[in-house]
Amino acid sequence: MAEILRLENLVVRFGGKAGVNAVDDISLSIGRGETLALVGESGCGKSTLARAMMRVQKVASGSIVFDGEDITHLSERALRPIRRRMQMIFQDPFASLDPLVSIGNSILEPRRAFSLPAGDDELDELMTTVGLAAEYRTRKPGRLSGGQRQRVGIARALSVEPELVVADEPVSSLDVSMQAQILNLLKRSSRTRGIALLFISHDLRAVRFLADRVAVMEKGKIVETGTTEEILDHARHPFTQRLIAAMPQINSERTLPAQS
Amino acid sequence: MSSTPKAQAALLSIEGLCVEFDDGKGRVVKAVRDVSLDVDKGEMAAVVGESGSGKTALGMSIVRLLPKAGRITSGKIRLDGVDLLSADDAHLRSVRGKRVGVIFQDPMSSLNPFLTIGRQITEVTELHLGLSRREAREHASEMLDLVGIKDAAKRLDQYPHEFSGGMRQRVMIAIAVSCKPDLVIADEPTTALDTTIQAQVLDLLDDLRAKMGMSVILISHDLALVAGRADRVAVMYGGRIFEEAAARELFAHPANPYTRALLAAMPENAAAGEELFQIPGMPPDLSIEMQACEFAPRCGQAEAVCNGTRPPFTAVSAEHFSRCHFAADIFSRG
Repeated sequence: MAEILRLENLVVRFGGKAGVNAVDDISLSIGRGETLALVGESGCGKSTLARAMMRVQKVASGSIVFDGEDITHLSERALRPIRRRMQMIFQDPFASLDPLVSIGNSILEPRRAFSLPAGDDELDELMTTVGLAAEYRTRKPGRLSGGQRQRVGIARALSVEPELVVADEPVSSLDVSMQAQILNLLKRSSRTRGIALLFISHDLRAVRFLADRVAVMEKGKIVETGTTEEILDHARHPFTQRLIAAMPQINSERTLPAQS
Repeated sequence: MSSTPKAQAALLSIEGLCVEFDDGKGRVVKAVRDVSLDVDKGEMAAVVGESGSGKTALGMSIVRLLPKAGRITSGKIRLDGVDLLSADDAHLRSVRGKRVGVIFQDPMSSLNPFLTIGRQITEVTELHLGLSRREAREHASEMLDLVGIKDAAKRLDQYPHEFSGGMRQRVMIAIAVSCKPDLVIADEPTTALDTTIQAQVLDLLDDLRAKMGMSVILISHDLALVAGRADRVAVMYGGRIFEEAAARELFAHPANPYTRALLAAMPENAAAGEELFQIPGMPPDLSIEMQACEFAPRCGQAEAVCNGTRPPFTAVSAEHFSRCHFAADIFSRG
């Protein structure tokens, strides 16, 4: 699989010389169209890693290679076309939407920012993709449910036709039924559009459903990577085994279903 | 269960509870609709439902901590036979914190950032147990030990921001159980926490229940979370209890279409390569009074009767109840 993103010995340091490496010598790659799950506990550095690869977090050393090009030290100006190609979805869609801007304008705003066509056709297509009825177009985000707001967040990310989407705990604050809708939407839209997805989550149940591969992060380091089946059914690292053991299950006697 | 007579009276008995809220736009939202629920001594009962199902309003009604816009319009809530709804403020104060402890979802917003952890625990025990400062401090230190916070004596003098999310929730639990309450209401106590910390906090709650013989009402949106721990589960939808049974029974033989839909929507229940089951439509508008099944518009098995008549809460087997016109069919089909 061709790579869309590769990290080489990436280090992000907080607090200078006496500080800590929030991201500690991480090398990782994501293939085109692949869904990679990044799992770990809060504070392990997964969000910092995501921010670093999106070039919104200063890197101490190492490199970020996007579609074959080293973007680690690109100027903001040179980075601009790359910014369109990698997008982000946040945990709290409410905090990332302007309460005064209508849903329609909110969804089209990224397209306008990159001077892409942003008319009714584009808006219709995006709203249909994420399952928002046309009547929401003129509404403000304050009147939407958490799940609907997350659909707006996804529509915004998809709007500029990215090749890589980073989704940071996108379903953690949603009810089970909303979670199902958003997980389906993420899977469907990334598969049909060939988008690579970095899915950051501490919920291994969602990870099993969505991811092709899993990278497990602990204290700034990647401790284990592999296919979803390898990691979830045959974890070797004790930390991964602990994460799996803590996963809530309907029937605790049940062993995890083997994926055929 | 509430409709079957019990040999032993329940610790907590909720009967026909109705709670309303003003939505600020001149409409009245009927958040809890005729809910009856008993909790026995030492039992862990789970109330499971989505946002807007009325589960939190139910929990907060017990200690009469509803927000200003909310009110209990009818029903009875008895703790050891004493009606809490007609209790005066003094009696209510002696119930809250002392006989009933509450654990909220977000410990950061329920802990006082300007007071040390120690002070926040001693405040409660000085008031309710009449302990002296020194006794209270000693007791607080024991409480931190009990909830697994190491170095308790030193931690007592620290402020909430010096604790991690999981540790803060342990502090909340320490406060909630500091007066050895008969009942603890835990409203989404682990939703903001990592899976591993979640498991630790729930294990702790379960452990304390056994040690102290207290009852727990665990409120959650996640069926899987309560599955391994609760003795009994009540599933709420649209302000009503839609199904109630012993946990093992409910998960093995769910007899309500809503419970089944919730289970099917869980990621671990997706068949390989297939999409997750999605419950179509939206939760009901609770400002509208319906003479129908609240779930009917979203139910794959709804028939004419479901849109015209509200289904009764019927027993499908001993101590297993479901609110569905076809409960018996669904139950026997397995």
